[in-house]
This record gives sequence, C-alpha cells and structure tokens, in this order.
Amino acid sequence: MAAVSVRNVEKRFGDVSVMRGIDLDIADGEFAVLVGASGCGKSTLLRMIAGLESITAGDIVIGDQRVNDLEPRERDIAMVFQSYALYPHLNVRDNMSFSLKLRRKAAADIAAQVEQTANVLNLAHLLERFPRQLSGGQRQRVAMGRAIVRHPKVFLFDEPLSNLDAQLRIAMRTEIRALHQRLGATSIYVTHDQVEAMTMADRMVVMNAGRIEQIGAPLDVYDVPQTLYVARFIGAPSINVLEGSVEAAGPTGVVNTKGGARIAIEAGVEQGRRVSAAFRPEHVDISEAGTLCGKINVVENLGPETYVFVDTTDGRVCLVLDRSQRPRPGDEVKLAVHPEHVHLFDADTGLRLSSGCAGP
Amino acid sequence: MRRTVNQASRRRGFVGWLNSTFKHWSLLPAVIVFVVLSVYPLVNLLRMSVSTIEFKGGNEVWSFTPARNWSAMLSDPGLTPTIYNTLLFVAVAVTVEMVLGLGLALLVGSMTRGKGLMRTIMIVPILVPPVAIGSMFKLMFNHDFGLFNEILAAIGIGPVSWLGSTSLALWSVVLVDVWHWVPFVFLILFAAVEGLPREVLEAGRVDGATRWQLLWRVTLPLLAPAITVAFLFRAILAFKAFDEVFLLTGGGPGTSSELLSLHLFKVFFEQNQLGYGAMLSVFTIVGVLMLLSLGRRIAGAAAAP
Repeated sequence: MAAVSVRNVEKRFGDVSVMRGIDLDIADGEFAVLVGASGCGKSTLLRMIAGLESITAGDIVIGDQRVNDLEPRERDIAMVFQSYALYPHLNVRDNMSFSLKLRRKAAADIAAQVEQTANVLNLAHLLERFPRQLSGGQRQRVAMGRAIVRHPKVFLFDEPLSNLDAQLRIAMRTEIRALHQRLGATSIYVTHDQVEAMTMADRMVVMNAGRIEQIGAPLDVYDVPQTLYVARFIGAPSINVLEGSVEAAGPTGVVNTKGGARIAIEAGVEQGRRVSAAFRPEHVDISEAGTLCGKINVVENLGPETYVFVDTTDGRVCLVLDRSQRPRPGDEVKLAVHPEHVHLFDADTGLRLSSGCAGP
Repeated sequence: MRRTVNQASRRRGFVGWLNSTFKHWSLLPAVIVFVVLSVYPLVNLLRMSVSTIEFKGGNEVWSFTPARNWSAMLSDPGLTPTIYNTLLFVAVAVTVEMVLGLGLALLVGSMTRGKGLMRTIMIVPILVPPVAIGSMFKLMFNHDFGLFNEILAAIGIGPVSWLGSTSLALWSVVLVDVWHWVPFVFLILFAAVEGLPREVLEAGRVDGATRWQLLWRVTLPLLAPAITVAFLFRAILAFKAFDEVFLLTGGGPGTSSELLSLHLFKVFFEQNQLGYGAMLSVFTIVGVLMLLSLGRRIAGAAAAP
C-alpha cells in the first residue's frame, strides 16, 4: 500500500491542453473518488496514474517513487475496468492467476492465493468457467478478484459499476466499500455518478473541464460547495439556483431575484453584487411567510419523502417534504428559504462568496 | 352447411398444404442452380474418374476402367515430384504469408496515423489480374535485364537464373505468391487487430505483461479465430495455385516447379488423359477437404478452449 501524489500534472493532445495544474494527494489507505460529468478528464487522470496515458508535464508519485516514466506493469497497481476486460480465452482461475504467473510465483502459492480471493468474493464455484458463461455481476466480481489477488500498492477503478443494473450496482457499491474497509488498500475510483461518489468516498475530488473544482469529504463538499458547478453537480435532486443581486450589506442581507422575490441571507456580501443564490431542496419549505411564489407542477412520492417541483417566477424550484404533507399539483404556494442555508456564488465566476458553514 | 364445411376443410387442406410446404418450394430455384452448377459437374467428374474417354469418329466413347486410371496414377512419373513440390509450396508460402501478414497487421494496427493509406496500398496486389502479375514478375526475373538481377549486379553479385534453375524456380514462384497474397492475410488480420478489445490489452499491461508476453498470452489467443480463417483460405488457395507457376516457369525446368494444378492441366489438355485427370482431381478435392476439416477442428478448439 502506498500514498499517491499528483503534482502539477498537465495533459496535452497535440496543441490542445485538456488538463493542467492538477494537484492531488491521496493518503495511504484512502478511498478517493474522482467524480465529474463525462469528458471532465477524470478517466484520463486515472489512466495517467495507471501509466496507460502519458503525462505532458508534472509528476506522479506512488509511495516514494516517481513513476512518470514507468510502464504500467512496473507501477504495482491493479485496475478494474468499466467493461471488466477479462481475458476471454482464459477461465476465471486463469484470469485471476494471470498476473501472479507473470511474476513467476510458485504454483502452490498462486493456487492458494486464488482460492482465498475466490472465497472472499464468492467465486469459488465459478473458477472453471469462462467469462462468457458469467453474468455481468459475476464478471465484475472476477475483475475485482483479479485486482485483489496480487496485493498491489494501489487499486484503480474506472467506472466499474456502470454496466450493471441499478439494484446490482447498489449491492456492489456496498460490497466494494466493505472490501476496502477490510483490505485498507489505497483506492482511486472514477465515476460520473455523484451518489456513488457520496456513498463510497473517504474523500471526493470533483472535476470539471480538466480541472479539479473541489476536494473534500463527501458531506463537506455537499454542505460547503466551493463553486456553483460543484453545488449543482453534487446532490440529488439538484440544488435550486436563483439569479439576483444583493441588496443590503452587513451581517445579513437580501437577494433580490430576477423574478422579483426577496430571499433573506445570512452572509455578508457587498451591496449590488450580482449573485447566484443556491439552496438545497431540503432547505426550503412551503410557508405563508415565504416570499417566493409559485404553482406546484409535479409531485413525486418516494415513500419516506416527497419531491415537489414548483414553477416560480424565477424558474423551477424543487423541495423535499416529509410524507405527512400532501401537496397537490396545481396548488398555489409560497416558499420560504432557510437564510442560513443559502449559498452565494459570484454570478460571473461561479466562485463561492459566502464563507459561513452551511451544515444541516 | 355440411357441404360448405367440407369445401372449407378441403380448401384448408390444399391451401394449408401449400402454405406449410411453400417455404420448401421457394428453395427450388436455388436447388436447381445448385444441382446444375455444382452437383452435376461433380457427379460427372466422379464418373469420368472411373472411365476412359476416347474420341472416335466425332463421338465420345466412355468405357468403365477404374483400374486403368488407378494404374495410370501409380505409374505417373511426374506425380510424386508434383505432390512434393505442392506440399513444399503450400507449407513455405502459406507460413511466410501468415507471419508477414500478421506482423504487418500488428504493425499497422499500432500506427497512430496512415492506417487507411496502408490498407489502400495493400489492396493493390489483390486487384492486379494474375496474368499481369505473371508478366510483370517474368520481366523482373529476366536473366539479362530483369530488375532483380540489376539490383544484384549493383551490389556486385552475378546474375542469377531465377526461373531457369532447378533449385530456384520453385522459390521464385513462392516469392511471387507471397507478394500476391500477404495483403490478403494482412487485410483479414488487420480487421481483427482493429477489433481487439482495448481494455483487455490494457488490463494485460497493468497486470504486468511485457510487450512480448502480451503478444503471446493475450493478443494471439484473441486473434486465433481470424488467424485460422486466414490460414484456411490461404492453404486451400495455395493448393490450387496455377496461374503464377503456369505463367512464370510452366512447371520447369523439368518438373522442378510443377504444382498439382499445373500437372492436372497437363494431364487433361496435353496428354488428353481425361479419366486419369479426373481421378487426380477427385483426390485433390479429397485432400483439400481433409485439410479443411482439420482446420475447422483447430478453429473450434481455438474458439472454445
């Protein structure tokens, strides 16, 4: 096991710079999740750490070794691919022992290690099967087994659950997390699914357009998003964003939205500044004291809670209510936003303005 | 009432019969074409192979003489060298073509640009008519002014009798065959190389395979089906190679470059031994069929290990 450092890494394809100034430190034994929309560079970053993609500038350090010029096989990493990438001509046992055989381990050791890993992953009864005879979930498990069996320094996961159906994905999510807690190996996990990122990560790295937007523990990122992009990307249903300008300065103030609503805020921001005011669906209520008026468009009942989508003069606003409230589509409502939970972002740069903690 | 029921059932009987058998009837045109074009000539060949055919007074006279054809085959002095030449030709030409074709396919597959250009260039030899290839190489092999001897002269090596020497003639034909058919192997294998699953190869690199190990343990097993197909095609076509040797050496000098197809040609059209020629053809077909089934077994083993 080892820590991984990415230092000022840049990636160019010809003249096009797709990534620059990437700095990232992943501690020994940490489970880090790179998350972002497709095309944000998260897979490229992972492949650069693996050595499958060259880096144009900067350094990548695994343990205390600079690995820039090392081949993937010399980096002592294991990778789980989105397509599983099992060797189709080898059965499960040979797939799992492939890397050990290449390292010329003794046959008895290989057999023992494969058996042990297969038991951990419930694969013991599948060892003689070929990949084409396995279901998606089983293939996924074999891919995990192939990675685990040789105790690498670092595990890399490239969207490993994307090809599974929803239920299996949730089950495997928990399983991978449990496995990590058991093995304690440094892991870097790429996903576009923010729920996966939230649930699995020790620390998550939100990426956008070849840059790192924010690094932090999932709840910290959720509670204090540093950019409007992060605020929008993390959280389901998505955060509500209203455009407007700040009226009163001082310790508290008001945002006058474009639609004419007045949203009270707690943070001090200078008078007249154009801002994006964002608040999570759980931080807005239906209340007579509310200043944001609108009409309920859609109600989604999830069981424990209800999502309500309200069309206001400032666009659609989502709120989460508990099931005791029974709003109906078509109702005219007033919405009150919790002032302490309004995040303010600069309307032009998208950077966070309010510095206060906006915890639950 | 009863009548209508009867009529209906009778009609249902006929229409039903037509409906249920129509799919078979619709095959009839194809069956006729198949019988006329494939079965009839083959049956006729089998009949010929056990007969002697003579032309007397403008008529064909067939007589049933299997033993005579058989003994003609056993006593044919040209047959053994021909079979030997053919096996040697097939083994060497096909092996060289497979190795070069595979190497080129892997090489071009790893190129980042110019793949399309390479593919286009490689199609050219396949497009050239065999007769043109024969004439072209005959000029290049020419003892006095051919390209090959010019090149040898430039580096100070005396002229070589490419087509006129018993030790070289067959190998000159092999050379032309390789030039002609490497692109064919390349095209089949290049398509397979382009279709290799990228992530599986990357998994191999991460798992610790060197380039060489990756080639032997991952790439080649994944290419096995395509390699088998290319090999089968080449082996079968090489067994029947005719035009190159006919145009370049005519089988000579002596029988040093005579292949089975050319020998058949001579038996049929120079010696007019139609019956014996037919028997030889049948044995050739059987030989190629055996090769085909062997290849299929190998392919099956490769596809389902």
